[in-house]
Order: sequence, then structure tokens, then C-alpha cells
Amino acid sequence: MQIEIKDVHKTFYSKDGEEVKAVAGVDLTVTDNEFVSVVGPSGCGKSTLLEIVGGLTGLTNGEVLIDGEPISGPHPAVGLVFQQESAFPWRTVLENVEFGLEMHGVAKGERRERSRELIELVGLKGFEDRYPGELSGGMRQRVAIARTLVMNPGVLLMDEPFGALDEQTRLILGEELLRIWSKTKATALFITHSIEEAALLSDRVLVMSARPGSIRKVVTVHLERPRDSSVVSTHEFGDIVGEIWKVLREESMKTLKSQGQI
Amino acid sequence: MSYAARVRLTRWAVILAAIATLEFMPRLGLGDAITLIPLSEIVSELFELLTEGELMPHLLATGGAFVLSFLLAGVTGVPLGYLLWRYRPLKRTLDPYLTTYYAIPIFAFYPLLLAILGFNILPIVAISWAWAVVAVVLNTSIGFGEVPQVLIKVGRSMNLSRWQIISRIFFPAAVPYIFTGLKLGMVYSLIGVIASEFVLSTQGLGYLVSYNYLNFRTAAMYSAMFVILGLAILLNLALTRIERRLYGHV
Ligand SMILES: Nc1ncnc2c1ncn2[C@@H]1O[C@H](COP(=O)(O)OP(=O)(O)OP(=O)(O)O)[C@@H](O)[C@H]1O
Ligand SMILES: [Mg+2]
Repeated sequence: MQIEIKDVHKTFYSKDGEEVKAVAGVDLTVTDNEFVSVVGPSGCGKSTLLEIVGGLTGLTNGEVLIDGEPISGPHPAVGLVFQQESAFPWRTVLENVEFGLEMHGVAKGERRERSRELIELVGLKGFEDRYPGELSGGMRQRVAIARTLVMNPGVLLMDEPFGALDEQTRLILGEELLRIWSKTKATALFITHSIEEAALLSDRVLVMSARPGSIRKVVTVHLERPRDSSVVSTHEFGDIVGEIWKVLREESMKTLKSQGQI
Repeated sequence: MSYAARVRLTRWAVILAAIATLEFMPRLGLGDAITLIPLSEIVSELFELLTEGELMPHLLATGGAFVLSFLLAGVTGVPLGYLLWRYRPLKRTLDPYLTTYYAIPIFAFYPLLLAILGFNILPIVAISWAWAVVAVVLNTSIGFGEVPQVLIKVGRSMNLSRWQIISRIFFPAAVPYIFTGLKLGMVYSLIGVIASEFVLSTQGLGYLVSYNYLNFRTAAMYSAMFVILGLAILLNLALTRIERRLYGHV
């Protein structure tokens, strides 16, 4: 499936009438089965952009098309994984993963089977009957990912799914994500603040400007697929990371300066 | 020994020490004989009261008033808590009353309630309900406010209906808070019933305590107290069980 983001703007109005421009003129097309990452300084509008594509937040200007159709709310073929913890603490791993299927009336036998497959795919076999409170942060995020993937989304939107984890875990889970994604053939839009993660996963990496967010630079990653985290030590990888960092550094400096932190 | 084992051991030691103190202090002549009697005498009295069926009507009276007032507090408190969370102006308006609510000794109004409702179970239920409901309302409205937005977004992104989001995400997410409210409400309505029975009734465990006290039947008075204690512990356990059932374990 294809995502087209056309000149998208988003301005928030706070209660006292102050306006916050979160996104200002983003243009982007993610083609079928492509994996695109977005990096950008903190608060530049990444989550806002993703939620607009996910149909959860309205936009001020511009439009988003999924397979050529303008969206006006959550598109049934779009799956979202959120930045915040979102596994339901009152449901077991299996019940979490089943949730969407259950709500859409899929019969018990079928949804059990599909959920178990996904649980195995994300490496949580043996934990089906545990509650999220008994799992590590990384495992909880996998629950959220499985809960989204079980719906078979044609478009997968992920907002820093491993943001709260340490770098090693992040790279290893990223590698697993690649393995899973290659089986789903979904079009992926992935947000992160880790340059390494972006370079490891993506076909293209977009660097966003400081708020209001727009796209400053597009870096194409020509590393061969299938990849695993061992590419991190190659020259090409280093070059890509360097290229992204150069732009990201400037934008992050702008953000920090505007906040008076440096 | 593990930490948990030591904690458990200490707990038992405290209970044993309390039992020993209750038993031997009066036997050693510490404390006066009317207010403090050996535990063994209390227990045998309790046993007698139970087997002779003298306790049953009182237990039923207290139980009935409690169940009524607690159910009423739950049935009215949860929806009110929801409304309070849902309509901000309402919360704004009521906030000062709610926060100072427990500073008001509602029990002081019993003559008024007697005059309006008559000398029967109703004033007891009314006082206990009033005493309990606000704890339920407050905790419920806090609970709904604490539901993480992201959980709602999960539901929206899956194209769920409004009702599905409310019943399958919003309510379960608020359950721990609602149960905190219900547990408090339960304790408050039990206190409400017992305390009301001191003055508003000729039946019930509260009445039994005060009646036996006034008639110097110390062992019987303590028996009634123990029954109240047991009741409170049992009710709390039951509610905790139900919560676990509903929520898995957290
Ligand atoms: N609902 C809202 N109302 C008002 N302002 C908002 C709202 N949501 C986001 N913003 C503002 O919009 C800007 C962009 O927020 P957003 O969450 O999209 O940033 P982000 O790039 O995802 O940040 P991070 O890297 O910290 O996740 C921020 O300044 C934020 O305060
Ligand atoms: Mg964000």
C-alpha cells in the first residue's frame, strides 16, 4: 500500500489562544512495501505527523492519501504502535494480542490461532498467560506490536516503539522487527530518535527540522537486505549515520537554543 | 530465611503477642475487671451467643443495612463519578464541597433523619450511604481522569465504536481506582451502619455493643466487637478477590 502525505500542516491552539505550529508543510510518499524512518529533534512534530497519517488527529492544511484515497479518520488497513506504553494491563499477553480481532467479531478459534502465531513471531512464546505487569518494557512493546500486526495491516505506523529501551536492546529488537516486517510486506513509517536504528531499518531516512516540523533532508540507505545488526560496524553504515547526524545536529541545536538550554 | 518469610513470621508474632496480652493482662490483675476480661472468656461467650442463635438477628440486621447502603453507594457513586469526570463545570462547582465533605460529621444529623424517615432501617441506610458514596464518587472520577490517553488511541486506531472503547478499554482501565473507591466505600458504609446502630436502632451489632456495654456484659460486648472485626476483614477479602478476577493481577 502507498502513503502520500501532501503539504501537511498542523497547528494546535491552546486554551489561552496561543498557537503552536507542530507540523509545517510535510511532503512525502512512501511506496508499497517501503520502510521509511523519520528522525528529528525532540518536540519537532514527529508524533503529530504520525497520528495525522493514522487518522487520529485532524490536520490544519493539506491531505493524506492511502492508496490514492484521502483519509478522514483511522483507515482500516493502517496499524499503529504508540510511543507510550499501550499494552492493556488487565489482559494477558494472549488476550492483548487478540483484542482487535475480538472487537471485530473474529471467531474465538481463529483469533486464538492467529494470535499465537504472532506471539511466536515476536518471540513471546511461553508468555501467553502473563500479564504486562509481569513483563519487561521490551516485552511489553512486543505485545503492542503483535497486537497491531495480528490485524494484518497494509500500512504500519510506529512511533518510537523502542524509545524507552537501551541501545543494545533497541538494535536487537530492531533486527527482529526487520525479520517480522519482511514477512508482512507492510508499508512502514517508523519514527525514532536513534540514528543507528533508522539507518539499520530503513530504505530511506527523513530528517525533520526543529519545530515546526518539515523535512530537511532525505537519506537513501543502499545497504543490502536482509540486514542484521552486524552492518552497524561497516563503513557504509558509518557514512550514512554521519550524513544524517550532520543535519540532525544542526536542527537539534536550534531546538535547544530556542529552549534556552545552550 | 527469606524476607517474605520473616515478614510473615513477624505478623504472626504480633497476633500471638496481642492474644497473649489480652489473655494474661486481666488475669494478672492489670486493668480493671469490668473493661478488660481474658480472651478465653470472650471466645467462649462468643461461641455461646453463636450457638444459641442470639447473634443471628443482629448479624442479619447489620448485614442487611450494610448491603443496602453499600450497593446504593456503588450504584449511585460510580455513575456520579463518571459525570463528575465528564463534565468539568460540574466538577469545578462541586469541588469545594467534595474536598471538605469528610470534615462534616454526618452522624450529627441523625435527629433530623429520624424525624424525616422514621425510626426504622432507613435513617441508618441513609447515613451509611451518605458516608460512603463520596469516597466512591471521588475515586471513580479520579480513576477516569487517570486512564492513559494512549489506550483510547489504541481503540480509535482499530476503528472501534464509541461504546466498545468505553466498555472494553475505558472502564477496565479505571477499574483499580473504582475498586479503591468501592473498598473505602465499603468500610465507610460498615462504619456508618455500626455507628448509627449505637443510637438509631434496637437491633444490629452496633446496638449489641452499646447495649452490652451499658449493661456491664463485658464478654458479650467484646464478642460483638469481634464479630464486627471479622465481618470487616471478610468483606475486604471478598472485594479484593473480585477485583483480581476482573483485573488479572497487577
Ligand atoms: N494536543 C496538543 N495540544 C497542543 N500542543 C500539542 C499537542 N500535541 C502536541 N503538541 C505540541 O506540538 C509539538 C510537537 O509535538 P510532538 O509530540 O508531535 O513532537 P515529537 O516530535 O513527537 O516529540 P518527541 O520526540 O518528544 O516524541 C510540541 O511542541 C507539542 O507540545
Ligand atoms: Mg513523539
